[in-house]
Amino acid sequence: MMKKIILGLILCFAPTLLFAETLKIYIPGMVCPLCLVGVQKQFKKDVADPKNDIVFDLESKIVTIVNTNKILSDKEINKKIKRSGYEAKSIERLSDQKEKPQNNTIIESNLSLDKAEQIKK
Amino acid sequence: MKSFVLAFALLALTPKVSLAHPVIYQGGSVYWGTFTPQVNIQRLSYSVTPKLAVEAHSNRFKSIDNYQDYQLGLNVLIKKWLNVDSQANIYVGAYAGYYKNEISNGFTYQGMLMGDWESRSLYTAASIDSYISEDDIKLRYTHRVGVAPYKAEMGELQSWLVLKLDYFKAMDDRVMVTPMLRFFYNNVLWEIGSSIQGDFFLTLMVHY
Repeated sequence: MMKKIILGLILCFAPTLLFAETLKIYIPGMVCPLCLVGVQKQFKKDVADPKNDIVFDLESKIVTIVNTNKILSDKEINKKIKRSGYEAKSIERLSDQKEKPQNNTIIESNLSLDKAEQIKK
Repeated sequence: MKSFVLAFALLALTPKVSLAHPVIYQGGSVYWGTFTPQVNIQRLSYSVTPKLAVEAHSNRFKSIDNYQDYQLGLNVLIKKWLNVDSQANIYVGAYAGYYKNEISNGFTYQGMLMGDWESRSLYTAASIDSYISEDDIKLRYTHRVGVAPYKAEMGELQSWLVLKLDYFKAMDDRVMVTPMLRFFYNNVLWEIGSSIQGDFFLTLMVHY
């Protein structure tokens, strides 16, 4: 019985442990640090430390969310960005280096950052 | 003087103060205070969605027969433009409440139309407010233009040089010109200036 409980717990938490990821989201129109406050608020339950795990580069307009504690779908991400008052133009996913060091490739991207850069130009 | 003391006390006590948008992110709250010798405006709003906020505010115009009101209303983001390095917004607001002055008291209504455009180095905003009470309508026009002397990065103090033009016929039949400094750090914003007529101006905002 105990073994089954432990196995059940492992199965419950395994996806979270294995598939934590880093997101790079291109959000045009974010022109000041205050813009990030809303994004941090929307994603605060998805990271351990919103202030340090959600960072924003004003020059590139890319918000980086490090080590999410679960896999977020594009739909969920877009919804959260919309709630913060903006629109995500691209979402790039990087696997978590701590959890899966052998695989640091882009898993999924609906619009690459290169393309986002082209749009910007 | 009391307004200054109150403003600085608030600044010291509140870890987070913010930017001049009447509607912000979903679930976000804003405290927004404006202080001059003649005007004291206190606003508290909560954004239900990124396009709709409820707001409670009070206006005090000392030189208009000690006018004071307390109102409750809604702010709506009508349109938002998100460009690569800039954004622009149009907002409207409608409020209702109670007013009193040295002559009368009763129901009062306020309407607001505001537009802004901002990038990392330039900023402009204009607004019209109408204060309606029984047989009186007061209109107030405000226009701001700002320039950032440097592009601050995240975690750095952002500084702006701002020129504010204010026309409020009921108070003073002249255009009030107020050069000011605007600063924000993380989610705290404050503005300090003095009109060319010599009146101090202070704004304090907190997003939380």
